[in-house]
Parts: sequence; structure tokens; C-alpha cells
Amino acid sequence: MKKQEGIDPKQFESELKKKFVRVQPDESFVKNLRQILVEKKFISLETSKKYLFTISLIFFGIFSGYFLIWILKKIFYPKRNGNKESNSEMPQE
Amino acid sequence: MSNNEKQDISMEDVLAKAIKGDLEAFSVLYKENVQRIYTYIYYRTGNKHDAEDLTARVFQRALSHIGKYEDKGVPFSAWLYRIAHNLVANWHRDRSRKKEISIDEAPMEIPSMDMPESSMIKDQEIGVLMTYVRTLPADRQMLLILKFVDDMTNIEIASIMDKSEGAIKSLYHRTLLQLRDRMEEDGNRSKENEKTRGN
Repeated sequence: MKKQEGIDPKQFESELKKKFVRVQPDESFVKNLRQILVEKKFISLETSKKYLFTISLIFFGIFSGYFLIWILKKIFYPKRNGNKESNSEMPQE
Repeated sequence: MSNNEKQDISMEDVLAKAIKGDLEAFSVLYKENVQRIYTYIYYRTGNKHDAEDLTARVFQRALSHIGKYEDKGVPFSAWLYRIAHNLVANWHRDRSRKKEISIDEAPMEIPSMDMPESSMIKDQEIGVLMTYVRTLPADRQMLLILKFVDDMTNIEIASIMDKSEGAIKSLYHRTLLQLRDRMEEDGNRSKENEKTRGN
């Protein structure tokens, strides 16, 4: 009974409809968020690629350095070893 | 991609591209939905700063999970609303440690009304209304916002809230009655207080 005495439901509904309005966010906020979502994503992808390139360059440097040392060893060590071996094979008096 | 070309492409195509990781397509979806998501969060939190923070989180989460999105014929906004709903629930849970203010104690002039968007929300009554709305359960708040701010039909709301159309209809009716009764009770109480002060 109490509810019937109060405001008419239809009237209340239409009053509510008038009061509920869509809120406009700050334009700067909308722009900044768009940049964070879309544009910074590209930047982060670029930086990650650069990072990968640097890592692979370092690994390539290490590998090629090691390979160079290995080749140099192959060239020079056998001779030295050969001398040592020939020395050790010499009959001791 | 020119503006005309963008307009020609339907939102379904845009969504399909966004799912595949096209950021430009996601940007279109963002522009289409940012205001409604912001409004929803603003009504649920009552202040601009938290509304902005949570809106940003909604779209960041959407962007990171859009690859898993399945188009079930429900509007894309439904998915965003669900993310927003969960984030707002977490936000309220985190704040629940703080002392809750009852309607009697709550300030009738909400400070957030002084903020830039006050040009959109002119009336003090809206601030009072927001205070009442925020005392309702979360699903009822969501229903009112979707109904009045977004002007959605019961079917659309049902798809967002994962309920039947009938359930939404009855929930809407109960929500209106609850809100009306609370406002009337408070109105009567304040009238009585004025009378006693007058005597």
C-alpha cells in the first residue's frame, strides 16, 4: 500500500532517465590512453627487435672470435706439438 | 587506411582484424567504446581519477586478451563491460577496508561534481542520485547504468549480464522499487527532522 502512495513508478522511471547522463572523459585522457594502447605497443616491439639484434650480434662476435682462435691454434699448435714430440722421441744419452 | 575506407568497413570486420592483432582496428574499437566504459566506471566509483585509472586498465586488459575473444554474436561492448564490472568489483573489495559511509552520513554535494565533466553533470541531484545508486548491489547498479545511460534494451542487457530477458525485467522492476523506496524513506526522514527542528 505504501508503494502506491509514493511516486508513480513511470514518473520515477522517466525522472531517473533524465538524471542519468553519459559522462564525457577528458579529451587528453582519451588521447593519451590511445597512444599508450596503440602507439607505444609499436615502440616496444621495435625495441624488443633491437634488443634481439644486439644479443645475436654479441653471440656472433663471441662465436667468430672462438672460431678464429681455434683456426689459429690449428695452424700454429700442430707445429709446436710436432717439435715437442720430435724432441721427446730423441734418444736420451 | 583513409577515413572513408575505415567507415566502409563494418564493425565485425574491425573486430576480426583486432582479434588478429591489428592495433589500428583495436584503436577503432577503443574510440567506439571508451566513453560508455568510462561512464559506467564513473557511476560505479564516483570519482574521475579512479574512473580514468580503471578505464585504462579495462582497455589494457582487453588488448592483451583480445586474441582469445570469441565472437558469439553479442556486442563487443558486452565483453568490455564484463571486464569493467570485474575490475570495479576488485576496486570495491580493495577499498572495503575503509569505513563505509551510510546515506545519512554521506555528503549530498559530491566532490567529484566539481571536476571538469561537471559541465555534463550540472545538477546536484545527480550527485545525490549517484550516492543512492552506489548503495545498490553491483548487478543492480550495472542494470540501471546500462538501461539509462546506454539506453540498452533488456535483451542487450541480458547478453551482457549473462541472464535471461525475463530475469532482467524482474530485476529492473525490483531495482526501481528499491531505489524509489530508499529515496522516499530518506525524504520523509529529512522532512521529519526539519519539523522537529522547527518546533
